[in-house]
Amino acid sequence: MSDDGMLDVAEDIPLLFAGNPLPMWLCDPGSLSILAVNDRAVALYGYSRGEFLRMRVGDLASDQGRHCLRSGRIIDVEVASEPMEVSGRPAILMVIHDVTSRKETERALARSEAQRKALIESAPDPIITIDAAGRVLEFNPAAERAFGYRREAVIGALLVDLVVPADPRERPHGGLAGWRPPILERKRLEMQAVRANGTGFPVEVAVTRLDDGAEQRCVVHLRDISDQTRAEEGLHELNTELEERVRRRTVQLQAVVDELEAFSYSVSHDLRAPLRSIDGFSQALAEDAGTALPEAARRHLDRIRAATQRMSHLIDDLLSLSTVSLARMTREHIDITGLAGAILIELAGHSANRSVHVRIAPGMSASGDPRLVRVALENILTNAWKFTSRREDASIEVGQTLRDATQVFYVRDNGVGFDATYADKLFAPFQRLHDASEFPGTGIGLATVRRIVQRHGGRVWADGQTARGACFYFTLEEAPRTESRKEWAS
Amino acid sequence: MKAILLVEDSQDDIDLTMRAFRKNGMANRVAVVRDGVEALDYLVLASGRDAAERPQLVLLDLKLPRLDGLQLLQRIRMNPATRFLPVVILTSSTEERDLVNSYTLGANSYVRKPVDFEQFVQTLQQIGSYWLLMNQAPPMGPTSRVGSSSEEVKA
Repeated sequence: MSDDGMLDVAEDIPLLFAGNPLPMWLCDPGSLSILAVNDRAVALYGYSRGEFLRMRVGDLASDQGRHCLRSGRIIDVEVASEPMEVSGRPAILMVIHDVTSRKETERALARSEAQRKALIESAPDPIITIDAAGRVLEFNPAAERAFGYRREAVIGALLVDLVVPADPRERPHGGLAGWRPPILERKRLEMQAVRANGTGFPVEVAVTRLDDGAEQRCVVHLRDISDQTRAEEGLHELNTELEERVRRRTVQLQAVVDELEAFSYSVSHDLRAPLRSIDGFSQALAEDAGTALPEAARRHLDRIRAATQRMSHLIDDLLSLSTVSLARMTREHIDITGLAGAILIELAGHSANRSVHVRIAPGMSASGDPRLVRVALENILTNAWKFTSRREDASIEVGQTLRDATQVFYVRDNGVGFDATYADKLFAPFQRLHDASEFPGTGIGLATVRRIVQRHGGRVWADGQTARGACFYFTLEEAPRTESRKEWAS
Repeated sequence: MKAILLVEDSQDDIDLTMRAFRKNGMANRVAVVRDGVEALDYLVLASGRDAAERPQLVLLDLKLPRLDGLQLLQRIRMNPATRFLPVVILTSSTEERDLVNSYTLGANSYVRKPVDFEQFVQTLQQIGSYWLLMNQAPPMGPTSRVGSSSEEVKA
């Protein structure tokens, strides 16, 4: 330091070089051999001072703007050179700026920009970038294809001229100039895109705001949903048609049901009336002709009357079969034990001279239509009652068991039973396995039982042997699907 | 006028019913009309008579020409002169809707005609003795109101 307080730079020149925080060296202007190198350069490059002094500047260069360190690492450099005279000979002072990190950031930015560009360029969907005023900045090839505009023609155009609300009522009157698309980040909305030729197509729009400092941009991602819309319309049409078909079928079905109801109503009224006449006038004939009628003729009249009775029962049973088919069903809790008891008491009331040993399992219940289940149980129990009539030690048992996780009710008797060979005929209407003179019946009772059980989703079947009694099983619920159906076939 | 009004269109049924009533010794107390309109005319005529002379029981078939059984029942109940008149439905059907409709419209009883003639005779015997002898008849509507109400009935 000099006396007048000024720095004596000349005195400290070696220090400015040697202690400079920037790497630097001096080289020969001709050969570019390194003549002097500072500590910072030694530290950065990893070469010793001696090694530096044997090198030329070119030995350090990797390629344009880059140097290779002793370790092999490449760094980006900016070199400031200044020719000067040192100790009386010309030299070049080279000051090295290590700009690796800045360059890397720039390269990353460029890569990401290229990637973005590639993504947008190759995207299958139209992507439009707009500025804050809604003017088109970028228009990708997919957008060119979809809209039919060349990119150059559309840059600077307003997005609101390209994409309008799907509902025409939402479009502003007197042009679109005043309308700005609602910017809904991460929300999708359905709009109408307008092609260069004026035609439109439905698009789903997703808008993403890009906030990079002062400039505000939005990326508008469009997806042509024509196919989807067409598919939805198709589906809608299909549904409408299906509903219409179901409605028509229901009407037809209802008509059939109505017809059937009208038919059975008419049967109920009109078919029985002539029977009353036949019976009544046969009786009248027998009475009025009195003794004038031969014995054989009287027997004929008796047979006419017996036939009339049979026909009357047949009509009643047929009507009850059609009733159980047509009746509306409800599902309620039914006390099966109580119901079976009540029916058997009724049966006992009609035949006071019989003694039947009855056993009913306690606490049985089911879910079903109370009226229909009563009809079914009446039919099964009436059969048991009827077919045990020949036995002194008649017994009827009502119980339940579990088969394949399904609740099964059964009615077992020790009556005349049936030939198991014909078991499949038991439940068909008008099928009888016994002589009507022995056990009167119309052959409709078990058909009615089967119809009722089927309407509940259940099954009915029977075990039996001639003279060894019979057991009728039924369920009132659908069997679990996994089980084998073999034994349910009846 | 007779105690029982039988409303029945089938000649066979009329003959058999009357035969059954003869067996029961009630035939001379039965008047027969063949449809609902005739029945109304008969009842309008009867409402002019003394209470003791008016029918005490209507046996009503459901399927009738012109005014059918249910329509007739409705008119009978609408008319103050006959609204308490015992009406027994006597028909072939036991269709649930017939039962429901009959009782809804105010039938006093519903009896199905048995096919067996002997049972039919017994049934009529029981109906007759119950409604004419055992049952306490309702008070009859006043004669003075009959004129206006019969108009109402015919309307």
